[in-house]
Formats: sequence, C-alpha cells, structure tokens
Amino acid sequence: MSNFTRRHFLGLAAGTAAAGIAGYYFIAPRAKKKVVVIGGGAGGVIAAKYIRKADNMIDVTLIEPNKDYYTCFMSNEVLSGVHTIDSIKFGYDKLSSQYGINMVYDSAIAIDANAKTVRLQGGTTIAYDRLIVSPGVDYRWDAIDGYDESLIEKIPHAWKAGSQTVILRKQLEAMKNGGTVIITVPPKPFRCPPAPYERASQIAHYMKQHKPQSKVLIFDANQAFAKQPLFIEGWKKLYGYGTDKSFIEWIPPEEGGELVAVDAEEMTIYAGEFEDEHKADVLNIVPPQKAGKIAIESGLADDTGWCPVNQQTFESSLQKDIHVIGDSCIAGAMPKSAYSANSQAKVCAQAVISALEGGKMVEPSFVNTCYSLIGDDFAISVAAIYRLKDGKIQATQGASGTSPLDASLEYRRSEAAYAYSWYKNITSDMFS
Amino acid sequence: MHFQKYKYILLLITGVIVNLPAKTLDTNTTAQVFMLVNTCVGCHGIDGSSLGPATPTIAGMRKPLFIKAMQDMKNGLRPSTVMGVVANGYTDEEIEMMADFFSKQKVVRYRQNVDLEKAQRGKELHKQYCDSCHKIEVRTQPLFNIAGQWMPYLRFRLSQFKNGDSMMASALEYFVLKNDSEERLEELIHFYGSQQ
Ligand SMILES: Cc1cc2nc3c(=O)[nH]c(=O)nc-3n(C[C@H](O)[C@H](O)[C@H](O)COP(=O)(O)OP(=O)(O)OC[C@H]3O[C@@H](n4cnc5c(N)ncnc54)[C@H](O)[C@@H]3O)c2cc1C
Ligand code: HEC
Ligand code: HEC
Repeated sequence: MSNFTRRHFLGLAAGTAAAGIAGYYFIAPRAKKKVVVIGGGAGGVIAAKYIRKADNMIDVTLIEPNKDYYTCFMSNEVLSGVHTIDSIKFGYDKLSSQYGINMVYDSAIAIDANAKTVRLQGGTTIAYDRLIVSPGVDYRWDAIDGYDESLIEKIPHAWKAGSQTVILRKQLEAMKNGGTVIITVPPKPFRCPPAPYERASQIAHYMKQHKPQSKVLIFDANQAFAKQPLFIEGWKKLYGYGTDKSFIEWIPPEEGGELVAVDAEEMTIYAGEFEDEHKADVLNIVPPQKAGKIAIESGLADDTGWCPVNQQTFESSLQKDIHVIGDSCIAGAMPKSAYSANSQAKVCAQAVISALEGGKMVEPSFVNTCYSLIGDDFAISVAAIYRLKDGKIQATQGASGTSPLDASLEYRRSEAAYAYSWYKNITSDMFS
Repeated sequence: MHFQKYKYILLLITGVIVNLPAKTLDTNTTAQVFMLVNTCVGCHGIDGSSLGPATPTIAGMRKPLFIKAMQDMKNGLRPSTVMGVVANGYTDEEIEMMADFFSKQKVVRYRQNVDLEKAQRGKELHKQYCDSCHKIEVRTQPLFNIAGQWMPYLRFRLSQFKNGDSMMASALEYFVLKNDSEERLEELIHFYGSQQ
C-alpha cells in the first residue's frame, strides 16, 4: 500500500474526519514506532530500507557519520587499477527521498539500553523502540607489537574502503619494478575470509602488467584459507605460482607466516617462531578484528569480542530490544561478508516488524555468496544457503559449494561477468 | 529439417508437464514469500530485474518455466555456476512460491550495447531458424526468457547447448551447418538484446 493510501485508510478507519490541509491528510495521533539503525553499510542500509518497504508506519532513523559509503567489495579492484575509487562510492539520497528514512550524519557514541536512547557525537539524543546495530568491524590495535592506528597512513590496512584504499593504491603505483609487497593476514574470524587472497591476486595482476619483477608475499596466521585450491589453481594459471618466477608467495604459519611485530621505520615485519625479518616496499597489515567499537562499548559483545544474538531475530543475547547484524554479530556458520550482512538485515527487518506490530516471525532463510576476481575475466565463487537448525544458523545440506576445479576459461569468464552483475545488483539493493 | 513437429513437445516441456495443484495461500505466506525471494535479489536485482551485465533477469518468467529451470539446475540436468547450489537449498513448495512471486513482477529492461545492423540481420535469422519454437510476439508473458535478456548470459547459455543431445542442440547444429559458422549467432544475440 502506498504511503498515501495507507494513511488515508487508517485515518478513515479511526473515524477521523480527514482534515485536508493542502492535500495532506491529518491522522489522529498514534505514536509511530521508532526504529533507529546505527551504521549505513551493507547491513544497516538494508535493514532500514526493508523495514520502510514493508511497513511505512514505522519511523526509521539511520545514523552514519559519512556522507559517502565506499564499498569494501570491489575495492581490491581499485588497488589494481581495474576500477576507480569513484566507481565504488555511493550516497544515501534515495534512502531519504524514496523511502522516507531520516538520515542523521553523525556518530553514535553511547547506547542507554534502559532509557532506550542513543547519544550522538553532535550532542543529540535519539529515542528508539528497537535499535539495530551494524557498525562493521573494529581493530585490535594492541595485538601487534609496533603497529597501531597512528601508522595507518604509512602502513595502510585498507580493510575499510575509501581513503585507505587510495593510500595503498598510490603506494603500489609509486613502488619500483622489483619491489616487494607484504600482506599480513590476521587469525580468523575476520571480515571477508577470501578477500586477502583476492587482494594478492589483484596486486599480482597489476604487477604483471606494470612491474613484472615484483612480488607479493602473503604472511598468514591461518593454516588454510577460503577457496584455497581454486586460488592456487588460478595463481598457477595466471601468475606462475609455485615456480621461482611466481608473482605470489603464500607463507602459512608452519613456515613462519604468523606476524609477530612490525618495525614501521624500517618497513620490516618479524614473523614466525624465530621472528624472521622481512623487508617490504609496500606493507599492508590487515589487523586482527573485533566487533565495531559502539557495539563493544555498549556491552553487546562477549569475551570473544563479537556480539552473540538470537540467530532467528538477531536480538542481542545481552541487551533487550537491541539487534546486532553484519560483521559484528555471531551468526552461526555464516562468514562475515556483504551478502551475509544483506541477508541478515532482511531477516532482522522482519523480526523487528513482527516485534513492533505483532504477528508471528516466519522461518528465516539466508544466502551467502562471495565472488573473487583472480584476474581479468577470471573469477571464482562460493555460495551457500543457510537455515535455522536447533537455534543456530547452519548451511543447508547439499546447498553449499564453490566453483569447480579444472573449469574452462569460459566458465571463469562467465563468473567474472556474474561477479560484476552481483556488484551492481547488491549496491542497487542498498542505494536505489 | 522441420522443427514444427516439435511444437507439441515444446509445449509439454514449457507448460503442461509441470502440472501443480493450485493451492490457496494462507495469510502468513506473504511474509514467507518475501523471506525467500529477498535472498535472490542481491544477485538478480530488485524484484528480479537484473542490472546486468550478465546475471539473468528472472522477473516476469512464466511459472512453469521458472520451476523447470530451478528443478533442472537443482538436479544437474542443466549446467550452471552458482544456481545448482542455490536451487538445492529450497523445497519444491518453496520453489513454487518463488515462481509465483517472480512471474508476477513487472520486467524492467536496461539498454544494452546493441549493434543495430547485427540486430536487424538477427531478426531475419530468428524468423528463419528459431521462431518456430521461440515465438516472439506481443504477449504479456513470453514462453521463454530470451527477448531483452542480458546478452552475455545468452552467449553462455547458447554455448551450454553445444554438444548436447537436446532439441536446442539440434537446432544449433542445424543453424551452424546452414550458416557455415557460429559467428552469425552473434546477430541473433544482438537481436534478442535489442528487444525492450
Ligand atoms: C577488501 C575487502 C573485500 C571484500 N569483498 C567482499 C565481497 O566481494 N563480497 C562480500 O560479500 N563481502 C566483501 N567484503 C566484506 C564486506 O565489506 C563486509 O562484510 C560488509 O561491509 C559488512 O557489513 P556491515 O554492515 O557489518 O559493516 P559496514 O558495511 O562496514 O558498515 C558499517 C557502517 O557503520 C558505520 N559506523 C561505524 N560505527 C558507527 C557509529 N558509532 N555510529 C554510526 N555509524 C557507525 C561505518 O561508518 C560504516 O558505514 C569485503 C571486505 C573487504 C575488506
Ligand atoms: C550468487 C548469485 C545468485 C543468487 C544468490 C541467486 N541466483 Fe539465480 N542465477 C544466478 C546466475 C549466475 C544464473 C545463471 C546460471 C548459473 O550460472 O548459475 C542464475 C540463473 C537463475 C535462473 C534461470 C533463469 C533463466 O532464464 O532460465 C533462475 C530461475 C534463478 N536463477 C532463480 C533464482 C532464485 C529463485 C534465487 C533465490 C532463491 C536465485 N536465483 C539466487 C545467480 C544467482
Ligand atoms: C526445436 C525447437 C527449438 C528451436 C528451433 C530452437 N530452440 Fe532454443 N530452446 C528450445 C527448448 C526446448 C529450450 C529449453 C531447453 C531447456 O530448458 O533445457 C530452448 C532454450 C533456448 C535458450 C535458453 C533459454 C533460457 O531461458 O535459458 C536459448 C537462448 C535458445 N533456446 C535460443 C535459440 C536460438 C537462438 C534458436 C535459433 C537458432 C533456437 N533457440 C531454436 C527449443 C528450440
């Protein structure tokens, strides 16, 4: 029902004479339920939009400090120069103009779960009936000796897209032919499990064209990684992996891959049991991660650093009337990805509507998918369907898998085309 | 070769064979349907109309065609990249509910990079070789999901039929035989891509 007809309908049903003031129908005041969403990213935007799409009698406010959102997804392709930074930039205009969401460009700095209010940096306090928190990830700055937030201009993480992506891209462009790039991968769980390996692929892709004497080394705290056989196969095909001419080397923990310390001055890392020294021309440290700061400071996280939730409704297990979605939450078997956040947000939107307007919550259904672009016209994917089983989100039997090994080039090309389609469709789901 | 005789079989494949009992949907079903289709639109576009460049638009697909596509991909009868896995996650009933939803969505088409000369030649080729089975006429719901579909998808789809033993494989073989090469298939693809 459109905004107009629904208001009209309710107005008449309440027996109020429709007092039109310049075409505007006055309705007997019925307190509108208020939903506040913290974080205008892959999870938050979808939750806000889908609540408004389903029920325009709920008042939705979205709090986000930045006017522009740069997607992490496709940001590795900005590093290689395949895409520009502007092509991954989006704004929130349509969310207010088309969906009537109140956009508040500010940061949430405190949540009062008893008073049911959110305090903003700018000084305002906003009340809610239900709060949805989707702040993404924060970093464990104390975890690596010699590396912290003060160094991210010199040694970018680029694990949030935007200026960090641009810095890393510029460093790659400035690097000499024959230079060494080091990427360090933190222990799981972290945002987007295949992304470090896609990043290495994209950097190799750039080197192959412009700096063929160069190398990218991946120092990994994990023994295995997402889509590993497929990445390795692709690296062999495109980047000479396994030969002494390889553009990419992967160093697992048993070969000394775990990062121990960083010497920023010397652009050197120390890794492995024996703290071997490795010098880089470009250093990309992906820091260990935890739930977004606001979630942790509001008592939404447990001692793992992530937020436990009821996996059907995403309501926090620790605080009433607050839901946590996206990277910050513990969502059973689902990895931390944009598609997961999107899928969780839609389930959460239905749960919030059921809670506010009455009505039974239907059985949730989730999908995750993640494409990785290894090179031009060469992509691989993973996809899975998830359902709730014994209170936990679990992959449905027989409904999860990756692209096959030994597939034809045409197959890989089709997946690259589908990866770009995925990007267009998921960003339009969010922003238009 | 005459394909007219296949018309009857074709109708069976695309329409009558999927003979599901009509059910009345209860009130909670709307929420349930949204719960299911919400997971598809991140890949297929809002209400099933894809922004491309490749993932197919599934809005407006006829119900039996949609169900057949899902079942064939689920059972591995039709090659796919991700859809085999995706389709496996849904029961027959859920597939029917989604088929019902998408069949009722209005198709939004986006302009593609079409070579108009190729499209013009493709129009003639279509009449000659394909129209007998794939009628493109003014009707609200075409039998197949081809006209206006994303061109890269049509290319992938056509190449999947090669070397098979289906009706489509024979039709392609016949086409290539008569035209001495596969190149002219591009003209057909531009013709379909030009349809709005
Ligand atoms: C290099 C890279 C590649 C990736 N590629 C893919 C991919 O191909 N596919 C895929 O599915 N996923 C991918 N991801 C993962 C994806 O980006 C995240 O999983 C997803 O963005 C998580 O959504 P979210 O809503 O939890 O957080 P985000 O999208 O990060 O959104 C959080 C938002 O909250 C805001 N915020 C934070 N704190 C506050 C506060 N206190 N007050 C107000 N606002 C706040 C932030 O400004 C931000 O806009 C990739 C990630 C990286 C790093
Ligand atoms: C990860 C992205 C992705 C998701 C999620 C996804 N699809 Fe698909 N779909 C595709 C791709 C890509 C194709 C082309 C076939 C292939 O390669 O798998 C396709 C093909 C199809 C087709 C065949 C269209 C035709 O014209 O024959 C149908 C029907 C379909 N999908 C339905 C769905 C439904 C229903 C859902 C949600 C339950 C869904 N898809 C979820 C990517 C996706
Ligand atoms: C003898 C009848 C017949 C002829 C002639 C024929 N087709 Fe088909 N076509 C089919 C059938 C049957 C299918 C469905 C196949 C399936 O789903 O397995 C199909 C499917 C297709 C599809 C995939 C549609 C989708 O939704 O995925 C395309 C594309 C296609 N045909 C193109 C063509 C072109 C181009 C020609 C002319 C060169 C042609 N066909 C001639 C019978 C025919």
